Formats: sequence, C-alpha cells, structure tokens
Amino acid sequence: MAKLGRDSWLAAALTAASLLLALITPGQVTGEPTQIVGPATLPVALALSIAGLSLLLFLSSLRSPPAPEEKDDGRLWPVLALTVLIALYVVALPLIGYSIATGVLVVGLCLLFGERRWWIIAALAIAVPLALMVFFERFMVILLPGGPWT
Amino acid sequence: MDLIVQGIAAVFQFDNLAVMAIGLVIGIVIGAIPGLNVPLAVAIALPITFHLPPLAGISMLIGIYKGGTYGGSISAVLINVPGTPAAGAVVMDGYALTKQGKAGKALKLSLYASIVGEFVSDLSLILFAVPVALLALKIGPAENFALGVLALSLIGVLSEGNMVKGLIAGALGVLLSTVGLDPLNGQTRLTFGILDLSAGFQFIALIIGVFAIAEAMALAQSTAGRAVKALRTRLPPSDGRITAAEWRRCLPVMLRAAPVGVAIGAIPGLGAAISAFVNYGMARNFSKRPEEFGSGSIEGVAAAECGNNAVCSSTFIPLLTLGIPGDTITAIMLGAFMVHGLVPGPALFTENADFVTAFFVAMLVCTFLHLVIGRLGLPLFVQAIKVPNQLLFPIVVVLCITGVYVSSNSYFDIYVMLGFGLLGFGMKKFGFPIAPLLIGFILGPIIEVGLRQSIIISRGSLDIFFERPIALACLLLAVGVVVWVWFRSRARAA
Repeated sequence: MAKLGRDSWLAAALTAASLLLALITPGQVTGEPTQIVGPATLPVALALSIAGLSLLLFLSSLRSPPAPEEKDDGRLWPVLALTVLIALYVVALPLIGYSIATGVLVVGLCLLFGERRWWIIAALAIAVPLALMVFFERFMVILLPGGPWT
Repeated sequence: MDLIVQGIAAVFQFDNLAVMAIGLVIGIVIGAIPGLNVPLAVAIALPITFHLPPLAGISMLIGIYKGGTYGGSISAVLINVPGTPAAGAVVMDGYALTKQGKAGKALKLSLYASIVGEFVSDLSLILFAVPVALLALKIGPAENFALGVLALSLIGVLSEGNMVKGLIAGALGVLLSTVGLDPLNGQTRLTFGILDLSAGFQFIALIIGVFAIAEAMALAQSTAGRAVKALRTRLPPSDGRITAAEWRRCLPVMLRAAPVGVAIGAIPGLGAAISAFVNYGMARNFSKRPEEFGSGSIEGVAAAECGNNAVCSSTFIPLLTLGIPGDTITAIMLGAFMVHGLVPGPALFTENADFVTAFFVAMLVCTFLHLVIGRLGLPLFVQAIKVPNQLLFPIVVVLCITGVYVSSNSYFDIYVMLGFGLLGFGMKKFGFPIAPLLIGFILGPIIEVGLRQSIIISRGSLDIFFERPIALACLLLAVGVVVWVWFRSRARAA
C-alpha cells in the first residue's frame, strides 16, 4: 500500500469528523422540531456535504502523488506558545486588569517574535497599553477590564 | 435649478465642510482599528450631531460612514488586519502587494477604487433613487436565497485550481454561521451547552483570527527562539506608482464593480461585506490573469474596494425613498433624520426638497473631500512598512485582542478569535483557501432564512423559485457560472 500523504490523512479525518457532526447535530437543537425544513436541516446537509467532499479529496489524493511538504522546520512549539500566551492573558485580564496584563503580554510577545533589547521591550510594555487605554477609555468611552489596582 | 444652487450654497459653508472633514478623519481612523466598526462610530457621533444644524449633522455622519468604510482597507493592506468585515476581501491581495514592496500602490489603488465606487453610488442615488428602490422592493426571501446561491457559486471561481478544498472551505463557512440561535424560531443549535455560543460566532473574531492571528502564528514559527539583533526594515521600499497599463487593467474592473455594489447596497440587509466579496469573485472570473488573485492582484484590490464603497450612497436609496434603512448605519442615521424633523419617505422629496438637494450635493462633496484627505494621509500610513516585524506584531496582536474584546465586551470572543487563528494557520498549511470560508459565513444566514421563508410561503413547495423571475435568473446564472468555470478549467488542462 502506497504511503498516505498529509492531504489523505486530513481528508480521512475530515470525513470522519463531519459524519460524526451530521449524526449528533439533530441532538444539538433545543426544543421540538416545528417545520419540515427545521433548524437542524441545513447544518446536517452541510456536514454531509463536507463529508462527501472530503471523501472526494481523499480519493483524489490517493491517485495523485503526495504534495511536497512546506519547509517550515516543522516547529509547532512557537504556535503553541503564542496560543498559550494569549489564553493565559485572557484568564489574567479580569484578575489583574488590562494595563498590567497587556504590559506582560507585550513582553512575552516581543520575546517570542525575537526582540531582545530590554529598553525597547520595556518601552513597548508601557506605551502600548497606555496608548490603547487612552484611546478606548478617554476617546471612545469604552471601558477596558479593570483589576484590583485600576 | 434654484434648488441646486441653494443646495450648493448650503453645503459650501465652512462649518459644513469642517464637520464633514472631521467625520471623514474619524471614520478612517475608526475603520482602520479592528473591532471598532462604522455603526459604532456613527452611534457615538449621533448625539453630537443633535447640537448641529440638520445638514451639518448629517454631513458629519456621511463623512464617518464613507471614511470608515474605506478605513478598514488601510490596516488590511499594511498589516494583514482587516479593520472592518468588508476589508476581508481586500486583505488577500492588498497584503500580498505590501509583502512585494508595493504597499503604496495597494493603498493608492484602494483609495481611488473607493472613490470611483462612491462617486458612481452618489450618482445612482441622485439619478435613479426611485426606480432602484422599486426594484429593491421586489426582492423577497426567494430572491435573497437565489442571490446567496449565486454569490456562493463564485466560490468555485475563487478557489479555482483546488475546487474541492474551496468547496469544503465554503461549506465550513456556512456551517459555522449556523451555530447559535436559529434565525427563524429562536431554538439554539450546535452550542454544545456553551451559553456564550448562543449568539453564534462574531464575524470580526473570525476574520481577525484567520488573517491576523494566523499570520502572527506563521511569523512566530519562523522567528521564535532566534534573536533579531539589528533593527531591520520589515519590507522593501514601497512602490507607490500606478502605471497607465495598471489603470487600463483596473478601470474596467471598477466600472463593473460599482453598479453591482450599488445594486447590493440598495437591497436592505445585504451590505458592504457581501458587495466586496461578490465583486472580488466576479473580478477573478472575468480577469485575464486569475492566477494572480490571492497573491497580489491589483484587479482584486480594485474590485473589492470599489464594491465595498459603492454601497455607501445606495444604502440611502431605500431610506430616502421608502423610509426603509438598508443597513445598521442607515438605521442609526434614520434617528438623526427624525431628530431634525426630517421623515424619510416619499414625502421627504416634496416637503423638504431643499434639504434633499443639499444632501445629494453633500454626498458628492464628501466623496471629493475623501479623495483629498485620503491622498494626504497616504504618506503617513505607508510608514507602517518601516516598522520591523518583531516590534510590529506584538502591537498588532494586542490591537487584535483589544479590538475583538471591545466589539462584544466578551472574553469568550478572544478565545473564538484564537481558535479561528489556529484554523486559519492550519488552512494555510494544508492549502485551503480562506475566501470561500468568509463568503460562506457571510452568506449563510441569508441563504438559510431565504430558503426556509420561501418554503413556508409556498407551503412546502419549491415552485416559488421557478415562478419569480429574479430568483430564477439568479439560480440559472449560478448554474451558468459553475458550468463555465468547469469548462474553462477543462480547456486549460487540455
């Protein structure tokens, strides 16, 4: 059996996931069905369409040679780090407030994107939250999350 | 003739021109900031206009509307962050041009295309308001469904070269739009018990996620753990000149996009985002260089931006002639009209003819002022390309998060944006086009509501789609587009 390319694996996973979604969608609608074309009709039809198209993609990927993989070093940890950093920021926002949480986030982001000069990082960590707070809270009158000190 | 002279004299007062210019600047700035949208800016400015004379107040709101509709393209072109949902169409080619060192060209083109769209829209409002409004009244659920299907059929065009992946992305877009409250009977669906999902996914979180956060993830992948020592200019020097040959390519695209945008704007409930994406798809369809779309096509920028701004004046057609607001912004502006004792509808043209004439003149003057202010601002905007990535992207990410938060005041939407960032990153890695996902998400509710309402009206029968000429024409055109693209791709492959 020929080695499956990444398109084949993806198509197989998509087919399985969309079939599963089509199965569980009717149970994900609250209340009783009221019309012939009800709330679940379009989502189920779309999930089945995606399953069909994914199957087509799977079959066509078997016929064609695997596409050359992109040269991106395969490093996924920076993507994971960015995701975790933003998720932690959202958790911290209501606890320590916008100004401090954003300052810390800016430091983390600068380091992640390759900036190492401490004076630039410090300047950005102060200036960015300050500028955004002035703009949104003073000019637009939109309140940003406050913490225990703000 | 007297009315026209009076209208011109009324508009060309210093106070009027000043508040209009202020409105334009506010609109451009607000439009360029992700999360802050034009309806929000108009709503905030509304109480200010109550203290101004009627024409000055309305002129300021027009300035915010036109400036804001254009402003979204600036951040889209320069930093891959669409400031408004409609700028999602221009980001694909605009940012690609910026990466090629053509930020100035992309910005100029988006400004000029916006102006052409606005100008055609202004003229349509002045010359054809009544017949266009009567035509728009003929658009019911069946026509909405058919128009949605026609626009969706352009997915095939948008994703040419990888049709199956494009169709999957389009279907996924429509599927994502179905999450939350059912638009007809209020039942929740696909929320998996998460209360925050009851209102569905916010489009701004989707669009910022798949473009800006996905781009930040790709950049992090290449730079993380590698210190950048020198302060390097992010991109090559900007090529800002639009050549005569490029004008010859773009002008027909704009002249085709503008009437389509006018028609879409005149139909209540559609709006700038749909116009931008439909025109982008059409431009690719008619282009002699469709392969350039998505990787820096000037025609793509021209079509999306012209279509985007061509709705600006035509949304006033149903408002002024019938008293029906065409979108959220004109609904807010209806309030401004009423506060000043102006009741939109047929009587407005007879009882307040002097105001209507001055309003038309103000529309045209605002377009001219938009050109002047936008052109003066370009050298300032283009400086963004000089900021190195390691400094720019922390600011962009914070701006995106803040923008998404303020648009809905919800922490949950930041997670949604993050999730869509991962989706966009994955789609890019696996070669799935983003445009069909966005078009599907925008058109999903229109198609679903149109289909279900039509079936309710016709008591379960599909005959309604064959009995209404506009609906039938759109459906036949949709089939025609798919067949044409299929034959064209077969001919190219042969």
